[in-house]
Amino acid sequence: MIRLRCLRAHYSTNKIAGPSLISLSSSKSYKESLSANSTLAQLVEAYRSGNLRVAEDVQGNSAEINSNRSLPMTLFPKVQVFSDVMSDPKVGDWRKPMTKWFRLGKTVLKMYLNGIRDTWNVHKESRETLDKFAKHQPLVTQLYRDLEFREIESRIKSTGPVQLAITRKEFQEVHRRKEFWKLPSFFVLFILFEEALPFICYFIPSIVPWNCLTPGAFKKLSEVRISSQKFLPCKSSETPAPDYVSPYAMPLTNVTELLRSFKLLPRWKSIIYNWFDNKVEPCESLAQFHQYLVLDDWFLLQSMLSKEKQTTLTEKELINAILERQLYEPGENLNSLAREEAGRKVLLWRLFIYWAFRFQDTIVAGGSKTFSEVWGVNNVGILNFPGSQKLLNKTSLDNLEI
Amino acid sequence: MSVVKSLCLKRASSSISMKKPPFYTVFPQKKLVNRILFELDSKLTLPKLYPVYESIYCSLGKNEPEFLIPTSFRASDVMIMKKVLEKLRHRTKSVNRNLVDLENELLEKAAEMGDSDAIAVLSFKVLKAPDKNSSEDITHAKKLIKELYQLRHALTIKLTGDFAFKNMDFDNAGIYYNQFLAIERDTYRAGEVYGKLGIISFKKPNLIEAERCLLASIRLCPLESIVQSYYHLAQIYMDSEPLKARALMESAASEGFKESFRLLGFLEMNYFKNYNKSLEWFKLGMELYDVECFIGYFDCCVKLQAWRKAGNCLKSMQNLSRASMSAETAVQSFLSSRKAHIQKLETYSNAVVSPHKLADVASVKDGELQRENRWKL
Repeated sequence: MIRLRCLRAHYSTNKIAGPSLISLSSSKSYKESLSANSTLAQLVEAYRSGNLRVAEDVQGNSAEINSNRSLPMTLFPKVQVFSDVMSDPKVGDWRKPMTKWFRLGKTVLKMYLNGIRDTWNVHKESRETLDKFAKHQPLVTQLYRDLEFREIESRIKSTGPVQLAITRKEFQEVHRRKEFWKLPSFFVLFILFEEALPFICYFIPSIVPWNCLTPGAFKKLSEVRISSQKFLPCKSSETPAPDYVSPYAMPLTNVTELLRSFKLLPRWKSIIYNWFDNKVEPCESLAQFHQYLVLDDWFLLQSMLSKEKQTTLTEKELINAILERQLYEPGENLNSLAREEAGRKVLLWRLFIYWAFRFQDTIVAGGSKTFSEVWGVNNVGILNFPGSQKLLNKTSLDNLEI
Repeated sequence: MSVVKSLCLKRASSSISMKKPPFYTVFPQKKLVNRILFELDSKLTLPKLYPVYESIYCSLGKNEPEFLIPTSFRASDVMIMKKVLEKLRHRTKSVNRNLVDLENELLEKAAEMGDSDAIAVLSFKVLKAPDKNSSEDITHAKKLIKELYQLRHALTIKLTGDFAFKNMDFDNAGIYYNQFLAIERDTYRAGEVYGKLGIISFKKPNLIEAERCLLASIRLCPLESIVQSYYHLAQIYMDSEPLKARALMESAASEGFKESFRLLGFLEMNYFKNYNKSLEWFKLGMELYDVECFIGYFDCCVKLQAWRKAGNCLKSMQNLSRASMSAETAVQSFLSSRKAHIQKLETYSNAVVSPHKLADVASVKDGELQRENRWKL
């Protein structure tokens, strides 16, 4: 192990010999990519055999993967409520226009109450998960190291698939528990503005706990997040394939802008860091976010590539995965895409291509190397890199006969 | 005549060099010794110990030892005197032959007075060098070790573990170390044992256990005794927490651990992008003729566009490859992998004005110089 690390340090210049990009330019080149990339072939096979599917809600084994209660709704209930009222024979025709708005208001209020209750529960239950681990270190770093240790040990001792002491649902809920701290300010605003609060939430969606967002507010936030894509190192790379970029090699403003759009750094802190030229804190946060994505990818891939059980990803989780990895174009409505068959397929294939590029040759995909051995230490050069030169869309999906 | 004179001078100087230097010149500063005595929790102070040290030192090499250890001194006190010298050796990272002789003498004296630690150390010394000792000595040493082991003497168990560790018998070493930890859990020696257990787990590999043991070792022991624990822990954290790995590796480097210089250099150069700092680490490694540090230094100079430094480094590397066979392969692979940089370096080197040309230009009259392009040297 020591020898290996020395060599890596010795030869770790900017050029990395990672897997090749997935080509989407023609059906033929896509098939070539498919035969060259075993991870993509495995994912496609899992999808075609029905081992992997996307559904609105799940139960059973896949409940360990999804945490629907911590994610926002995908469809605003207006149409559903209105049609229910219109088809309700108990409601007289003369009061239907009034009743449908009243019921919509009631549904939205109920949604907010449920959201607040779920945020509370997530915070409370994730505390129990956190208690299992050491308190002096972030959970992401501990799990990332644990995963690395277990992968190295399983490679040498051939002990079979690696398992972590936590499920993806628990991991995600720990990550999303900080939404709880929006509740106090939300309550204060509610007391101050009462029924005018929804209008304030409409204009400033970031004050709302994540699972209380309406699809419209979600769209606004997704636009804010995608606007930071230009700060990603892979966007400024001169070569089509990403190079090795450590967080410390990025300009400080790019790091803070990315962190702000990922909701990992408040504006006032980013101003202070830029003012004092403090690189360490923001760069470490970015490295931690990179590790979080690697772990999340690993949880999902491990479940999807396992032939023993069926994996179901909920629509909400699919949308969230796409959002966090910035695998969408500006202006795209992820909620409406996820609700239609073709759009859902596009989103899923974007994830497949992203994973196939990142995890080719790694242990989770049947290879022999850990993630860091393939890409280098905290390589943010591949952060949110789609895996292909262009993002897949509906037209290319049809052209490639996927 | 002059030849005879020089011969006489040589003889005189050699006789002076053979003579032992006075004790006060060899013995370290009072402040340092007092600090070590405090760390060792000694009940005796330096004013009491100094005359004993001096008398033993003066009697070294004489057939009939003249020194007298006061009757109030116990075997453990003599052993503390020995430990003071041992710690000094580790702390100053220098070996004084005279002080080593004194240390050995004290060890033997402590063993004669019946100190179990001293007996164990002496017995293992015999076992470690079987060629230099007679078979009777070896048999006697084995017998003593066996007796001490049956008495569950902690140091004997640790030394047995060390002996197995040295002979690459890691399973047995682990067993002995765990037996030692059942007796002693929170001493300096336990820190050393945790360090060794960490290295054993690292090699297996059982990395979670290795991390636990190495952390325990660092908690219990001062840096100078467990540099390897710092180094191995830095290796463990290298992928997940490079910031922590750097701090640990710097601690190892502060004790002059050779392997840490190149890793720190590469970490600073490739991850933290702190080229000036990495140059300093590589420089330290280059002083120890580490060929990888030369490679790192060259790469760093290229990144900083310090072409003169890069050129000098390349020359030193070629000299090193001529001197050492092992370095030659590394240098050859380096030359083939950095062709583009070396070509660029040559271009820059050619553009540099040679001193002869400068002298020629200086001799040209002002008028001529003005007629030509001023900068067309």
